[in-house]
Amino acid sequence: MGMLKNTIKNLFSKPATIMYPAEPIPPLPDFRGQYTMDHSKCIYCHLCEKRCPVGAIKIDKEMRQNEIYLSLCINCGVCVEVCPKDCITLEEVYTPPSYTREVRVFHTEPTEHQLKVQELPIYAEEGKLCITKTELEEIKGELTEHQYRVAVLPCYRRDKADEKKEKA
Amino acid sequence: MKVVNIIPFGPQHPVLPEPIHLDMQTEGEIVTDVKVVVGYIHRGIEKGLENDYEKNMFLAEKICGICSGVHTSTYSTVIESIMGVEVPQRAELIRAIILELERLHSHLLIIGLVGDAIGYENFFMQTWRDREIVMNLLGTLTGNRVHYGINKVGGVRRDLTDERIALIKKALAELRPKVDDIADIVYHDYTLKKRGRGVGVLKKSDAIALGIVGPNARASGVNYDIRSTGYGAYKDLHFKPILGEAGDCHERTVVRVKELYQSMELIEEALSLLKPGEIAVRPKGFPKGEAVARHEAPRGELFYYARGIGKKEMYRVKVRTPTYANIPGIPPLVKGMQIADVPYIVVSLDPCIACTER
Amino acid sequence: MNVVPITWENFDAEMDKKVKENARLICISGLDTGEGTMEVNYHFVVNNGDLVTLRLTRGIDEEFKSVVDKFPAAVLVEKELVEMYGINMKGVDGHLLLAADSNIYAPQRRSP
Repeated sequence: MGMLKNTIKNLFSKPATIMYPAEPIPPLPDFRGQYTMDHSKCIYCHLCEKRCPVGAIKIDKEMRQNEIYLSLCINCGVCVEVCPKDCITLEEVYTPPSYTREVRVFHTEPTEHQLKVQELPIYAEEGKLCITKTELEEIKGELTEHQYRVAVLPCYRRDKADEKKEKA
Repeated sequence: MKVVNIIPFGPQHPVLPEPIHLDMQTEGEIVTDVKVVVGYIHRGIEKGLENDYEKNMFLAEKICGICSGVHTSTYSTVIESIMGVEVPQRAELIRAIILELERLHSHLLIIGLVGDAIGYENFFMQTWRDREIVMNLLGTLTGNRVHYGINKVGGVRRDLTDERIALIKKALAELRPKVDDIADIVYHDYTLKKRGRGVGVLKKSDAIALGIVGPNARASGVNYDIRSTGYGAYKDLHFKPILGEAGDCHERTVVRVKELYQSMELIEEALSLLKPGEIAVRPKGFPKGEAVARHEAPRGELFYYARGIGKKEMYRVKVRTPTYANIPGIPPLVKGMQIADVPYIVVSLDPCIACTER
Repeated sequence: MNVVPITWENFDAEMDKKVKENARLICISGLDTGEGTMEVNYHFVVNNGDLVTLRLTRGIDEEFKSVVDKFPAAVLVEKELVEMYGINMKGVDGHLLLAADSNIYAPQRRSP
């Protein structure tokens, strides 16, 4: 008797299924969906890259960009918890299916201050110094104090990196 | 020369949720001997668990899709035993609520598949439609409908706010009349009783000797439920195992329906015991030592053994899932039965082959 | 965790004692120490509900004994132990999980 009552009720009500993918699924609140980030707040601490269980995030500080391999990401939410500046959010919809293995790249345009520094005659490409430290010391008189300090720091670190490579 | 008929069952079959293979020797329509072959979806997870002990949580979760919450809970318990971490009371209660919700949706799934195995499509579709209430509730509480990711070493990752508690109560109130309907059909329907009574009888002595666990053993009268040992929050909840008597296929479904009611009562009792407090404790150092842990998954007893040697990577993690212990129970149940009953018997044992092979 | 070490000589006597106590075998886990020895842990539940582990330590190339006749629940676990570690257990063949034509041998072994 129980099943007969349900059968007659189901004859006169609308179906319980959704015509996916023609109709979108109604989003659930607080769902862990696709990865997205606000790149202007990133401080390049590499914490999300270290703590990702599958290694789906790659950070490049020199080029100022973050990459996310969407086909590797398991939407676990560990990166959201460890980021100290709260840049990362997970949206409320699924990653949609695609034909290729997608990599999404987030990068920032240079700031006002960075643009001004780059107008110096010693920068050839965006953000990359093209002279060595000894040459920079020779033209030190033509730069202001602040410009010299900004120029010297990345240059010094690149020299150290080259020294390490030569020793190894 | 005697001709022997061998009829294969699986690995692809409409009633099986996952691939398993049986080679049945028959005489006419009666099965005389059976050989069970597994190994179609072995992924080598035990070797993959020899890794960073916090990232292992996400790999242990992916062993199974239906019982993923209890795998992370047991893994957390065994690592917390090794490192000597004490989990706060509120985190234990949240874990118990999520585990009981998982038991609800897992039992509704297998009750529906039992209907599908005998051709009762109407009942199958109704049970799975009512299961969507629990799946959407879990999606909002934990962030995903399967693979919840709610546990971490030292506690849980998400809290239960007042709105979420109101959502749980609303969903349970919506689910209760539907479970009453399903229970009415399982207890009184003519088709289910005619197909199930006297088919695949598991005797109590066989169940103890072969080490069968879970509702399969409880339907034969064996009193074996790990929740009685009082792990986690279960020491504060009133719990009594549900036992059956006949040990046949219909009795196993009846025991699972009664456990649905018990899970709903346990969730309400756990919600009434929640007090404000922390939800996680930060562990210090690396695991060094060994420990075991046992939890009651929807299908039976889940057992973890782990050893660490003072580094970030674990040295050995051994997983023994409940279906692994139930597979030796297939040959004595199937011998002497007709071929048409074999799919129903295999599905009524609730096999989760992904758990078996890891 | 309650660990009781046993030796090869009193292996049969200890197992018979567990049969007499009506203990229930939960699982058998193996561990390769990496120095040529193998530990085999037998996890039991005794009547008052406690967990007891019997630990047998032996060289990895020596012979081991099967307990299937005393505890029929061990039939699958021993096959997996032989398959994953490549040990020598009388009466047990190691064909359970890996494919029949694969060329992987003893994947979880750490000793050379």
